[in-house]
Amino acid sequence: MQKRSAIVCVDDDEMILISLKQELMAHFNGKYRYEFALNAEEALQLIDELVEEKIYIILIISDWLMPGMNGDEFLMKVNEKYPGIRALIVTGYADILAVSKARHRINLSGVITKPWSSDELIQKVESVIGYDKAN
Amino acid sequence: MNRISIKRIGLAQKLSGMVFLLGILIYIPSIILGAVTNLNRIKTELADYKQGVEMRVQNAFEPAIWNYDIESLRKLITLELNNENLESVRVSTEEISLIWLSSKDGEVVDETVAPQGKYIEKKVIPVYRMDEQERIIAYATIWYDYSPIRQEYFKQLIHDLLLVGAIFLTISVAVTISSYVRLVRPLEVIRNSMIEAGKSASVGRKKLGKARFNRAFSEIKTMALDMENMFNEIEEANQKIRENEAQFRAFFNQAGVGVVQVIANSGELVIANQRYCEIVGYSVEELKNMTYTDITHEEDIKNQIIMTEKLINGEIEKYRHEKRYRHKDGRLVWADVTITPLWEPGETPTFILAVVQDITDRKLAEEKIIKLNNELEDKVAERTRDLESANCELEAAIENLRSAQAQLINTEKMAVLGRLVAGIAHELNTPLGVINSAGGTIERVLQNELDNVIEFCCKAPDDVYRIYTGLVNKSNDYQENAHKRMLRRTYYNTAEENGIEIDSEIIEKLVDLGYQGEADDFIELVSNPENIEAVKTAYSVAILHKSVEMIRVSTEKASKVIIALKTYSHKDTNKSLVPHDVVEDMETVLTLYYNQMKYGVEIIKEYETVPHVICFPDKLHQIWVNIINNALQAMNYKGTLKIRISNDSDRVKVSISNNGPAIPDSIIDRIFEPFFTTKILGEGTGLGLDIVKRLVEEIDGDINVESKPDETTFNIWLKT
Repeated sequence: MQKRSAIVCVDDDEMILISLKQELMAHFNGKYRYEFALNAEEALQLIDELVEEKIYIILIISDWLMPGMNGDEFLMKVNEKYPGIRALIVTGYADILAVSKARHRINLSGVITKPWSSDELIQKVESVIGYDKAN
Repeated sequence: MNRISIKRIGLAQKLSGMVFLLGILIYIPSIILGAVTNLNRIKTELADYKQGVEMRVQNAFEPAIWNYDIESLRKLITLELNNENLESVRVSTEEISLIWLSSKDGEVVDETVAPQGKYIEKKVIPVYRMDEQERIIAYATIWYDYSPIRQEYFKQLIHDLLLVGAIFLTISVAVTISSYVRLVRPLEVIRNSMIEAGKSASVGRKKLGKARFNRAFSEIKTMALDMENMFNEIEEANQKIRENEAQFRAFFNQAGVGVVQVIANSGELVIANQRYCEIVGYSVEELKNMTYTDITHEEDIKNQIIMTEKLINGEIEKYRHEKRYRHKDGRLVWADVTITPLWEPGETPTFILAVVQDITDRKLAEEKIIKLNNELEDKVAERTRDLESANCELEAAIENLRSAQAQLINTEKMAVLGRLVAGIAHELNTPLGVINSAGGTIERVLQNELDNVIEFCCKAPDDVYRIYTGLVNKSNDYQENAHKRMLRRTYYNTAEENGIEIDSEIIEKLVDLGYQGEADDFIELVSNPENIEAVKTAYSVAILHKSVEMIRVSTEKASKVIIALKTYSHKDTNKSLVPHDVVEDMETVLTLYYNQMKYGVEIIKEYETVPHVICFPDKLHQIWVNIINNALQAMNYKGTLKIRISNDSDRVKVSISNNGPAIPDSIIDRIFEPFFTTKILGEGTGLGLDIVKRLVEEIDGDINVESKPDETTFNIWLKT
C-alpha cells in the first residue's frame, strides 16, 4: 500500500537529497513516503500534487539557500497556502540570524545546520512529527 | 717826556741786548758743534781709508809677494803712495826687506830710513798666504802721515772762528751805531744843551740851544711813541690771549663731550671739564686727587693700562675705545673715549688728553637690540628645533603610513578573504555533510545488509543473479524526481490492478534503482520472492556505490575550495615576476565566489588561448577579487558577470563587465583614489580599486574603466 504520510525534502544539491533519504529511510523504514524536489518551484508543484492525492504532508525539510527562490520565500508561500505544514530548515550558511527572523512567518519548527549528524537530524524530525517509537 | 716813555726805552735796550746775547749763545755752540762734527767726519774717513789700505795690502800685494814680483809690488805701492796721508811703505819677509818706498814732495823714492815726525803712525800688517794654511809670508810696514789732514782741519776751524768773529763784530758795530744814533746822541745833545744853558744864560742860548734841544727831544719822543705803540700792541695781544683763554675755557667747560687731561705716567687727572664731571659724577676738586683707574670699571682697567703703555712707548699715535666708567653713585656709564698724547713723537710723555662721549643710552639700546636679537635667535632656534622635530615626526609618520599602507593592502586582502569565508563555509559544509551522511549509510549497509548480500551472491540461481546485476548497472542512470514519482504511481497502480500484495519498500527501491519495466515484467519480477531478494541486494549494493561516488565527488568539491582558498591567501615569498596562467588564476577566484554568485549571477566566460602573463602570482588574483567583488556589490549579487580574456597585440586583455548601474560621471575619475568609497562608513575601506591600480602598475600593466547603463567594464592589460 502506498503510504498516506509524506516527508518532502527540497535542496538544490541532489546528493543532499539522497543523503537525507538514506538517513530517513534507515530510521523510519517505509513508514512514510519521501518526496524530493531540486528547487522551490518543483517543490510547490509537488506539494500541490500530493495534496491533490490526499497525501498528508507531515514535514518539509528545505535548504535555506537555493537558486531562484530561497528557502524562506518558499516556506512562506507554502505557509500561505497550507498553513498546517510544518517545516525544518537546513542551512550550511552561517545565517542563523536571518533564519530566526523568518521563523514566525514560515511556521518553522527547527533548524538543522550542515554538516548534520544522523542523530541530530532524526531527533529534530522526531520532535516535529511526534514519532513514537513504540508505535 | 713822561716817566713811562723812559722806562720803555730801557726795556727796549735790554730786549735788544738779550736778543744779541741769545744770538751769540746759539751761534757759537753751533760753530763748535760744526767743528766737532767736521773732526769726526775726518776721523771716520781716515779710518775707512786705513782699512782700505790694509785690505789692499793683503789682497793685492799677496800674489806679487808670493810670486816675488818686485816690479808689480812697486807699481802697487806707488799707487798707494799717491795718497797724501801715506808717507812710506815697506814690504819684508822674516829675513829680508823686499822693497821700501816713500813719498817725498810728490815723488816716489826708495827709502832706507824710517820716517820720523809728530804725526807719523807706523803700522805692521802681516800678509797671509791665501790658502788653507794661511801662514804669514811677509810683513807690510806702513807709515801714515796725519799732518796734511790736521792742516786741513785747522784751516777749517780757523775759517769758522773768523766767521764768528766777523759776525760778532758786525753785530756789535750795528748795535753801537744804532744806540748812538737813536739814544746816545740825542741824550748827548740834551746834556750839552743843558750845560750850555747853565754856562751862559745869554740871548744866544735861546737861539742855538733851543733848536738843537728840540730836535733831540723830538727824536727821543718819537722813539718813546714807537715804544708805546709797541707796548700797546703787546697789551692788545695779551688782551686777546686773555679773551681767547676765556673763550677756550668756556668752550672747554661747556663742550658737549667730556674732556680730561691726565698725567701720562701716573694716570692722575689734572683737569677735567664740566661735562666730564657730569659723566663720572665727581667734582673737579675731587678728581684732582684721583687717577683714571679709580673711576674706570674694573674689567676695562687692564685694557686701558696696556693701551696707555703703548701710547707712552710710541707704538701707537692715539687710540679710541669704548669703556665703562664707574659713576660716583655706583652705576655704570658707557663712554666712547678718544685718547691723544700731548707730546710730540720722541719727546718725554707728559699729558694725555681724553675726549669722552657718554654713549650709555646708545649702549643700552645696543644691549637691548642684542638682547632682542638673541631672543629672536633663540626663538628662531627653538622654532627650528620644533620644525626639525615636527619634520622628524612627519618622516616617522610617513614611514608609518608607508608600512600602514603595505599592511592595509594585506588587511584588505584578508578582509576580502574574511567576507569570502562565510560563503565558503557553506561550500565546505555541504560536501562535509554529504560525506558524513554517506559514511553513515555505508556503515549501516555494511552492518545490516552485508550478510544478506553475500548470502544472495552465493546462493542465487543464475537467472536471479542476472536480474540483480541488471538492476545494479541501471542504478547509475540519472532519473528526475518527477519521472520517479510517475514510475512509482505506475507500479503502485499495476500492482493494485493485478491484485498483487507488494511491500511499498520494494516499489521505492525499484524506483530508486531506476527500474523501468513494462507491467508484465514488473509483475513477473515482484511475483518471485527470489527476485525480491535480488532487488533488495541490488539496492544495497547500489546505495554503497552511490555513497562512495558521493564521497568522491564531495571530496573533490571540498578540496577545490580548499585549494582556491590556499591559493588566495598564499603569501608569495618569491618577490620576482614570473609567468603565470591568468585563466587558471581567474578560475580560482571564481571558485571562491561561486557560492555568492550561484543564486543570482550568471557568469559568461569568453576565454581565448592566451600566453602566460608576467606578474606576481599572489597579487594577481587580488586584482580579480577586488574587481569581481565590486561588480557583485554594484549589481547587488543579481545580474550578469562577463569575463573576457583575450589577446590584444602583444598583451593579454582581461575585461570584467557587470550589468549593474553605471558609475556616475561625477565620480568616475575618483574611483581609483585611495579611501574613496560610495559605501556607508565602516563597510568598505575605499582601498579596493586603489590597490588594484597599484598592483596593475606594479607589474607594468594598464587599467581603465568604461561605464554606461547596464554595462560597466574594467579593462586590464597585462604584459606577457
